[in-house]
Amino acid sequence: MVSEHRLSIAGMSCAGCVASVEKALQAVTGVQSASVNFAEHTAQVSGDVAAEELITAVKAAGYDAAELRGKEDEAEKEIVELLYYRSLLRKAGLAGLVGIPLFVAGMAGWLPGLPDPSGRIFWLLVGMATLGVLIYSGSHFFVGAWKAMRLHNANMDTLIALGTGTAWIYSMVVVAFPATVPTLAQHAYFEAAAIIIALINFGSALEMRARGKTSEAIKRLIGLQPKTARVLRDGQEIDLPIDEIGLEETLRARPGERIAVDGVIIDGHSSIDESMLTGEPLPIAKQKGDEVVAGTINGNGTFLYQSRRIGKDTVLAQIIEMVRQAQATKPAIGRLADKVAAIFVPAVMIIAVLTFMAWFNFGQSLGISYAIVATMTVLIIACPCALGLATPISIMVGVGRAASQGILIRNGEALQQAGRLTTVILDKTGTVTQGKPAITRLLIMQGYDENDVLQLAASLEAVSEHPLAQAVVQAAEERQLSLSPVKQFKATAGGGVSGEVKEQQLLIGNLPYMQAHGIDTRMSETEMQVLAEEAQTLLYVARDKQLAGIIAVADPVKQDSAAAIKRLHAIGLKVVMLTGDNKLTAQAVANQVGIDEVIAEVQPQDKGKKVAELQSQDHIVAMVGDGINDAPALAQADVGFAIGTGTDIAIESADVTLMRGSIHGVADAIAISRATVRNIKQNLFGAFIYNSLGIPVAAGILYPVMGILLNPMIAGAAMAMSSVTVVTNANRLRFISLGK
Amino acid sequence: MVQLLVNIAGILLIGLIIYWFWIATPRKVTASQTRPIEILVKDGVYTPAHIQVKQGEKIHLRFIREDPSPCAEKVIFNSLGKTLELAIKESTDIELQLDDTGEIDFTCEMQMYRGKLIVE
Repeated sequence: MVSEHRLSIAGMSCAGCVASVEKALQAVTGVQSASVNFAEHTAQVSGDVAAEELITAVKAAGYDAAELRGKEDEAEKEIVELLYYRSLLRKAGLAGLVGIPLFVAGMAGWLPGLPDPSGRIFWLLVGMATLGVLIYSGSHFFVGAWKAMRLHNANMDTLIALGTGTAWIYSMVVVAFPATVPTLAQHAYFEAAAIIIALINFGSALEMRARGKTSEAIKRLIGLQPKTARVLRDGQEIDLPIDEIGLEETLRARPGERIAVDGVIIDGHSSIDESMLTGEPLPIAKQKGDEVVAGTINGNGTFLYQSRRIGKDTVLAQIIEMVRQAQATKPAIGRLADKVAAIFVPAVMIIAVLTFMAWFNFGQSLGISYAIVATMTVLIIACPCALGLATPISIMVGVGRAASQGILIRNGEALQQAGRLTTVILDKTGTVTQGKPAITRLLIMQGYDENDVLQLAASLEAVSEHPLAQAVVQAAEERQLSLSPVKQFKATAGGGVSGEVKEQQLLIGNLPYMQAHGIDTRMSETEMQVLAEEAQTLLYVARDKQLAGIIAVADPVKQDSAAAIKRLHAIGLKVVMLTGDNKLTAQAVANQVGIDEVIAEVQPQDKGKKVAELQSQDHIVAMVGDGINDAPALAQADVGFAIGTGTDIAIESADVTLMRGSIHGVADAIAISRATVRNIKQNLFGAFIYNSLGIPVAAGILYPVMGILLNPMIAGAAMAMSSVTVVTNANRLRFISLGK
Repeated sequence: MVQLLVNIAGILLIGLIIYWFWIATPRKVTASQTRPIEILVKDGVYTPAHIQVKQGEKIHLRFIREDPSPCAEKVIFNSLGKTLELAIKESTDIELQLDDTGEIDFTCEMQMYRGKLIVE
C-alpha cells in the first residue's frame, strides 16, 4: 500500500544537500518518489515504506529528520465512535420496538394461540418481523460468527448468533410445522430473540460510554498538544498549524501559551508550569539555554525558542506512546483469564449441546421445549468479554491514573510488582537529596586568606567533572573570583585532584587522599567530626604540602523526602539508603529523613550487587535512582524507579519513571499499583463467578431442586450488564485516594 | 428411535466442535520479506489470521481496521509486550523479527479478535 510521508529535515546548509537527502530517500526500498524542499526544509516521500526507515536513511546520510504528522486523528476517531454508538442505540431501539410489545402482550395473554389458523398467520408475520430485527440489529453478530467460524475461531458473536438463531429457527419450525413438535412444546421464542439482540446492543453502547472514560488520561495528554504555534519565518511572525513546524525553527512563546514543540530558549526568560507532565505544582524558572517541552504552559514572560524535537519525538509524544503501550500490556495475574478466554467459547458450545441432550433425554414431556430454552440461555448468558476485559481495562485506568500524577509505568508487570514490594532502596544523591551540592562552610587555616584559598581551589576544580567540584566553582563565581589556568591536572577516582595553579602545588580531596600524600590534617579532626555528622562532605585543600583549608559541601535533602519516607513506612515498607558517600555523611542524611538502614561507601558498579543481596533475603526490592548512574541497580531491582527532575529525563530508562523528582512518587505508584491489582482481582473474581454460576443455572441445574429455569431474556440482560459492570468497576480507579 | 438419533447427533456435534475449533488448523499465509502482509480487521476477525513466519526473518504486518467498535482498537502481541493502536479506516504498520520458533498470538483486548504468527 502506498502512503505519503512528510519529513522535516535538519542540517541542510546548502542546495547541494537537497540532492544527497533525496538520493538517500530514493535508495530506501519501496520509495516511489522523494522530493526535498530546501526552503521549507521538508521532504515529501511516497511509497510503500515506513516513516522510521526514511528517518534512519536521512540520519545515515548525516542529517536529522522527524516525521511531520498529518491531521490529528483524535477528533475523527471521536466522530466515528459517536456514529457507531448511535448506530448501536438505533439497533437496540428497533429490536426493542419489536421485542417488548410482544413480550408484554404475551405475558398478558393477548396473543392468539398457535394451533389457531389465524394465529398461525399472525405468528408467521411476527417471525418475519423478528427476522427483520435479526438482520437489521443483529447481522453483525451473524457475519462475525460466520467469518470467525471459517477461521476455526469462535467468539462472543458466535454465542449470540447461535443463541438467537436457535430461538428463531425453532420458533419458525413450531409455527410452520406444528405437527413435528409435541403439543406442550409448541411455543415460539421470537420475543426472546428480539429482546436479547436489543439488550446486547444496548449493553455494547453502555460499555462504549464507560470505556471512553477509561482512556481519559490519554485524551488529556493528547489535549496538551497545541494545534498552532507562532513561528518566525523570514523575519515575520506567523501562526502555523503544529504539523507545519520543522526542526530548528524559531518560535515565540507568549504569556499563558502552551509550548508547541520541544526546544531550547534562545532569547528571553519566563517561568513554566510543567505540572501537567510532571505533577510538580510549582512553576520552574527558565532562561536562555534551558530546555522547554511541548505541552507545558508559559507563565508571564515571553521568549523565543528553537525547535529541537517535533512530532513523535517530543517528550509529550513519548509519554503518550509509553502510556499507550503500558495500558495494553497484561501482568501475570491476567494470564489464567486469558487461557480460559481462549477456549471459552467452544467449551460453552459443548456445554450447550450437553444441556440440550440432558433435557431431551430426561425432561419427559417438557423435554424439547425446555431443552431449547436452556440451550439458548446457556449460549446467551456465557460472557467471555467480562473475562477478557477484566485485566486490561483496570490496567488501562491504573496506568492512566499514574500518568496523571507524573508517574510513567512501563508495563502491567511493573504495575503488579510495585504492589508487592517489601523494601525500597533509595539512592542518596538526587533522590533523597537535591543532588545540587553547595558549600556550607569554609574553614581556613591560620595564615591563609579565604578568597585566596577558594580562588585556587575553584581554579583546580573547574577542570574536574565531579559534582562537588561544581559547588566550589559556583561559590567562587558568586564571589566574582576569576579563575586561573591549571597545569598538570590529575584526578584520582574516589580520592581527589591535584595540579599546579599560579606556580603553587595544589591538592584537593578527601581525608584518605590527604593522608596518602602525607598532609598533616590532625589539627582539625574534632572540627571535621562535627561537620561530617551534619551530613557534609569535606574537601581538604592543601597548598605546597600544607593544609590551607577545609571546604564543607552539603547536598541538602529534598523538602518532602522525610514525609514521603513516612508514607512508605506507613504502608509497611522497609526503606534503605544506598550511597557511595562515607558512613558519617550518609547516616546524618538518613537520620534527617528517617531511613531504616544505610549502606554507605558502595562503588557505583557494586550497587546492583547490594540490590541482589537484599533480594536473596526474600525482599521484593525497588531501587530508586536517577536512572543514569544507577542503571545496573535499577535493572537488577524487581521494580526500578528512575526519578527525574522535571521533564529532563530519559523516559523508558526504568520500569517506572517519576517525572516529579519526589519520593512521594514511589508511594503514589505503590498505592495506585495496589489499588489496580485489587481492582483486577475483583473483576476477575466477578467474571469467573458470573460465568461459573450463570452457566449451570442457565443449563437448568436448579430445576430438579428448586424448579428454577432461567428466562433467556434475563440471561441476555445479565450478559449485557456483565461487561458494563467490569468497566464501571475499573473506572473507580480514577478516584482512589493516594493517602498523602 | 428419535431419541437415539438426537443423541447421536449431539455427540457428533460435540465431536465436530472439538475438531473444528481445537484440532483442525486453519489456512495459513506465509510471510514474505519484501511485501507487507495486509491484515483486515473487520467483523470480529483478522483476515488472514494465521501467518507463517520464518525464524529470524524480518516481517512487516499492516493492519487495516474497518470495524469501528472499540474491540478492534488494539492489537496486542502479549508475549512480545507490543501493542498497536489502530485508527479507524486506516492502516497501521508493525515490523517484527522473531528469533525463536513457536507461536505468537495477537489478539484484541478481549481476545475475541485472534490471530497467530507461526514461527518456523
